[in-house]
Amino acid sequence: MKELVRFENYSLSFKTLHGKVRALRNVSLTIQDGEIVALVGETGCGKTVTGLSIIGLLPENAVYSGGIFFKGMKIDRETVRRIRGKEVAVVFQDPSSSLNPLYTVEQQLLDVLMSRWNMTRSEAKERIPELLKQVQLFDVDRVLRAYPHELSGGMRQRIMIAMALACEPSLLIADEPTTALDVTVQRQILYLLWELQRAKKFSVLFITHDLGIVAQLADRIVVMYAGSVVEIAPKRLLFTNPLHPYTVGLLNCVLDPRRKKLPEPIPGSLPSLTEISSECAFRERCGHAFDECSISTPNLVEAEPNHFVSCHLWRGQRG
Amino acid sequence: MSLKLLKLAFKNAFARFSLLIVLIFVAMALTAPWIVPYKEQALGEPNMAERLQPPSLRHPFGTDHMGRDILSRVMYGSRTSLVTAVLVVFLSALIGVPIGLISAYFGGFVDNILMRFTDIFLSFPPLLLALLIASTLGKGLFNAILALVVTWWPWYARLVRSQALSIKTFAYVEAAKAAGVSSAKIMFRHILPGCIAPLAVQCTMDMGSAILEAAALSFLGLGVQPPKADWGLMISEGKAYFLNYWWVPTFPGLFVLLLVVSFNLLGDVLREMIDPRLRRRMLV
Amino acid sequence: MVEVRNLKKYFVLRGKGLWGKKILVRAVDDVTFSVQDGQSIAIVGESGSGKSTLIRCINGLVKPTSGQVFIDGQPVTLLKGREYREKVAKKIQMVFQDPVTSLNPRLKVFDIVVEPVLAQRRMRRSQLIDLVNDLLQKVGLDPKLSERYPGELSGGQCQRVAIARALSVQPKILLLDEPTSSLDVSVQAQILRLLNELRQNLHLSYIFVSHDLGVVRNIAERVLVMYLGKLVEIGPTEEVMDHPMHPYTKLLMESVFYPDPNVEMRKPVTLKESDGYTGTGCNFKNRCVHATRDCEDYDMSLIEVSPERFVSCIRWKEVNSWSN
Repeated sequence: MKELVRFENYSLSFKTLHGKVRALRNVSLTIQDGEIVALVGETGCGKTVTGLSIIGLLPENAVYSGGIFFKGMKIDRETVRRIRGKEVAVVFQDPSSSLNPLYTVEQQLLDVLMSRWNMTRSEAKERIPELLKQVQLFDVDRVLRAYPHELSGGMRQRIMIAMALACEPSLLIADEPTTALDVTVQRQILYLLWELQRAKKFSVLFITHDLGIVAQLADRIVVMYAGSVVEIAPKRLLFTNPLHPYTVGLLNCVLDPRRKKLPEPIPGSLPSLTEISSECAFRERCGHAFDECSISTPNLVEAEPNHFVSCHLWRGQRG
Repeated sequence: MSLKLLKLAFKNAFARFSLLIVLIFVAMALTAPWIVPYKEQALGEPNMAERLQPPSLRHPFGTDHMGRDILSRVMYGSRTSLVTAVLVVFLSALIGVPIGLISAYFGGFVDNILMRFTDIFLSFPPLLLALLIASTLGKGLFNAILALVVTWWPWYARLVRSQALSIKTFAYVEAAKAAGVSSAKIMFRHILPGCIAPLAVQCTMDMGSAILEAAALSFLGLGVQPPKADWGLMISEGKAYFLNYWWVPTFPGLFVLLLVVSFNLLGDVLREMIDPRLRRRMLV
Repeated sequence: MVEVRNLKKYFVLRGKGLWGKKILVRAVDDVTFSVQDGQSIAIVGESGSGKSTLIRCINGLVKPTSGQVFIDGQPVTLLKGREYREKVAKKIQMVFQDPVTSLNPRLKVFDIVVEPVLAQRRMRRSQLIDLVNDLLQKVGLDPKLSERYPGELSGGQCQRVAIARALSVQPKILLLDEPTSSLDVSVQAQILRLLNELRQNLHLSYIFVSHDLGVVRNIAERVLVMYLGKLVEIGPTEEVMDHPMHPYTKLLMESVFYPDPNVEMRKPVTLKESDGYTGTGCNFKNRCVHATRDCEDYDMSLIEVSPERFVSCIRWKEVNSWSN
């Protein structure tokens, strides 16, 4: 499989009133052609910023080092414009703030088509019905004439997906796209996304905190904690053989509606991102910490084929 | 609101300037009776021998048509202006804030009635009302303040009501209700503090507007009466002399301008401090 | 101990446009159920089901349109002032969904926790300090945190403070409105454990509102499923979740994602494309592919299938045999 996106030792900080916030620390990961990569973690782990970094949607007080490569090309202020809205499209969490409430759905779809493909208005109009059908919106006229607030959350999210796919991207970044939706709608939207991906074979970077979704949707999973990547593995491998103590703890916390099993909480709480220390970010809460853990942050090593972990317990492996 | 934010807000030269001006005026108003060069003239005693003298060392701002030192009178004028502004803003808030709070908290029928009541007062044009009050109750500073308060308080009611409505949606208000806390306590302990910030901004800027409107009323002869010193009155009395004796209305006019602009700038600075989006921009 | 009888809450909304028709929203539509001492029940439903409105009718934050609520046998609907404090606030308290907005950011933790108690009676400062220390310890917080402000605490800590506040008046019943939805997974686990422990140690009853079926499985003995204001299914948690009898419950169970990588990506249950409100007959008939002519007349009254097990579907016997 060809490599689509690569993060190489990418670090990101924000300058704030409270000091420097280290949002990402030495993130290295890849996204291959045609695969669904899930980026999983809790608040502050940096998963959303990682996604936004690919398209350069960072605030003014962001400082970064290291590199992000898209199809081999390094991403910076100029090159990002070449991929934004063209090769890479985004679906955000809250469809009510991603769609402009002052314009009808039709106007917004036309906008996207015309600017991406340099079409004329009539050319774009012809493409629209097919786009909507793809996302299972069949009441085309009603939807086109409507303003975003007149439609349900599920419908709005389908439109967001339609707008993203209209660009025919190689990569779709989905940032918690179903968190705000009901369970039944969530199933519909995610199944839709999954089917479309299987058909068109674009890559997906799926950012979420929900391990249930990830278990069915993802091909590969990247687990993040406090700004660092702690584990990367194909889906089944991660669930059956988690290596990083945080992953183990996280999987123990997840509630399965099929069984009554009280979760095992991870003791302690998330660390502050403003304190700079050279130790492993998870050390305080880790049941397996030893002396090396307070001295240095572990690097990402390949503990077994395709299974990467950054933990001193696996230090002796291939790096 | 941390100290760091305060320092950042006042990094701007304009901000520091406006604060300084306001503080100087306040100091001037407080100490006028003791530092003014010609106290009796400030209070109105004429000095015809020296009338209409241009600015000089003896009279830095010159003298008016009654020979009184304009500098002293302008300094005394700051007292009436500031007192008027403070009283108008304070009394209007005293009336408007509770009405806004009660209206927002109880909603429904109470809200409707109170807001219609507020609307009635909103529709009074301030100057006409002042004329009405002056013609029935007589002229003078107190009546001018009354007229202004009557037309001013609805704005505060509206402001507080809209702020309170959004605070009401916070779960901590529900929690207090569920705990059986009395309505009055909820309004003053949970809702009102959240309204203070926009209220403070509005009050600061309103100080400027109040000074301006009070000056306008005095200018029309409805506020402070001669021979007292008041900027509006001084401008009114002095306008006839403007062509040949420019300093007579000009200095009071300049002082009005300076103080009003300073209050507005200060209000702007406060507004930037409380707006979270602008706050973030200040950090870059 | 808590009894809800024929509770209704209707809202009137103005329709679209300047002359829009008035729309009647039946947020809670004739709900009857009871919770015994020491029981833990979950009210499950999606947005628009009325579950949040329902629990707010129980503790009086929302005034019902009709129907009654009884706590310990006493009618408590529409109570105010002192009677409210004695018959409701002392016995039943609430924990809210968003821990951050449920605490007044300008008050110290200490003042937040003691507020419900001080609304009931006066206490000396020393007594209050003892009370706060005891409560904070019970919820797993360091008593020194009583001097901090909510802004200095994490989401999980804020929720613990909210629980401490709710427990300050020693209620027998807690209403919990999605208390873990806004929290991270690891924090959610901590809070759920805490809630379980507290229930055992203090012999509390819980009325839990949730849309998260994983949480429901682990905290509730009984579950009540709501759809558009009506109760559609009631029963012991395991039974309802493993063998749903109402098409809507079945839909919910089949929509959920299980954290199991060996489960294949399932197609969503086929539904008829339609909006919710029907006006007459079964609420679900517009979306249910198995609806028949009889469903038009069915008033959604609960059918007692067995003691403890209720459904409001006339085709309940066949539901389990329906495939996707």
